[in-house]
Amino acid sequence: MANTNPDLKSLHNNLIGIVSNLNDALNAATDLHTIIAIATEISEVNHRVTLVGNLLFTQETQNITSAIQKVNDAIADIQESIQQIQSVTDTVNALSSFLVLVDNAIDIAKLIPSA
Amino acid sequence: MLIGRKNTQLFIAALLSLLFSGCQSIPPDNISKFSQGLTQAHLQTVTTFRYVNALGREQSIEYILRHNKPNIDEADFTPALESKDIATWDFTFFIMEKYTSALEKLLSSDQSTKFGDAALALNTQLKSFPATHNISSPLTTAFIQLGKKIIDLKSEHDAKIIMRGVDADIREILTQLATSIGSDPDNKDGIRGTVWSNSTTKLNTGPRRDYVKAINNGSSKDKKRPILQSFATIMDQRDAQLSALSSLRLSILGLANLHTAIVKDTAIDAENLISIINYQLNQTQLLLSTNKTTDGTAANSKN
Repeated sequence: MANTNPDLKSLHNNLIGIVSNLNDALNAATDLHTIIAIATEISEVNHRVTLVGNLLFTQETQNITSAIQKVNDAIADIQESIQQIQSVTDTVNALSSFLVLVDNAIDIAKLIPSA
Repeated sequence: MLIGRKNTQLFIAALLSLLFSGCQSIPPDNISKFSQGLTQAHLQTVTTFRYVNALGREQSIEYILRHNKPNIDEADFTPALESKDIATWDFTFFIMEKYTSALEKLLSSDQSTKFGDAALALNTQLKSFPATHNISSPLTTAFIQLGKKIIDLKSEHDAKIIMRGVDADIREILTQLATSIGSDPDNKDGIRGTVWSNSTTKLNTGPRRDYVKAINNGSSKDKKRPILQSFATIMDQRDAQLSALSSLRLSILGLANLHTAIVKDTAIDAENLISIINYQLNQTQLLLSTNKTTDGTAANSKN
């Protein structure tokens, strides 16, 4: 069945998955510094979840597909980094780089002209 | 001769009955049920999205505060559903209500009213909306396809033939909207996913962080208790919103099923489906009104 923009739907689902993994990481954290750092990252990813959630009805374009492919290529590494947090600073840095790719995809999707 | 004249009269009576029953092939009461279902689902949509957007805006404010932005604009206040998406939902209900109204006129005793004028107006609106709104290709296609089918049926006088002719298109549009709400049992997709994510953020950046701070500071039970109460309140609000969205999804799918049930003459299904939609609306209003009063408490618990 036809549905919402498949690329943006996939990005939305992946970002929610990252929030979920960060939430799991938070369950395992005990020190205040780590908890504040992870909670802040949850907020950063959540901001993108909301932005992409608003773009789900956007038309499909090759530019969006290409930009989201770059995000998808980085997903596995970022999920691994969250699931096996050894250094919160490293994970935060990895997430910052990852979110640059996400923001690029969002900016492209926002610029798609009306049908 | 007498028998022959009587047979002719019976034949004419039967023919007239057949002609008129062609115009009344669907009991008007069934169209009224569909119209009632539309009104209820529309109200449920407006109610649910208002609460969902309030949560989204609340998180936007927290995000702006965290980044200490030197200036703000409207784009910073990101709702869970932007106005153009809500416009798509409203437009769908508008079209469905116009379509239902045209069917009701066709089934009314006023035989001078034809489906043709309404069909032309509907087609114009179905073509113009996607042209002025940035919506997904599949939904645009579904709207345009419905317009074409309606035009093909504009000379039709039988409401059942019209409904049967557009049933697949009505189902497609309603199913697409229902799908956008999200169907994952863990609430990790669609609008439900956005709400889950916003709520998780609210829990973690608010009471959870505050609780760990309180533990680190050796705070008393009296200081920790309201933090825990705030955590529980946010959980309740999250569950109410997710439940309301799940309920809305069922209502939208119920509407699609109701349309098909009417086409297929499954009157019992129509009766049941309208009851389900009505129940979903009542549940939504109850859930959300119960949880809205505690919102301020939860928001104010942050340091």
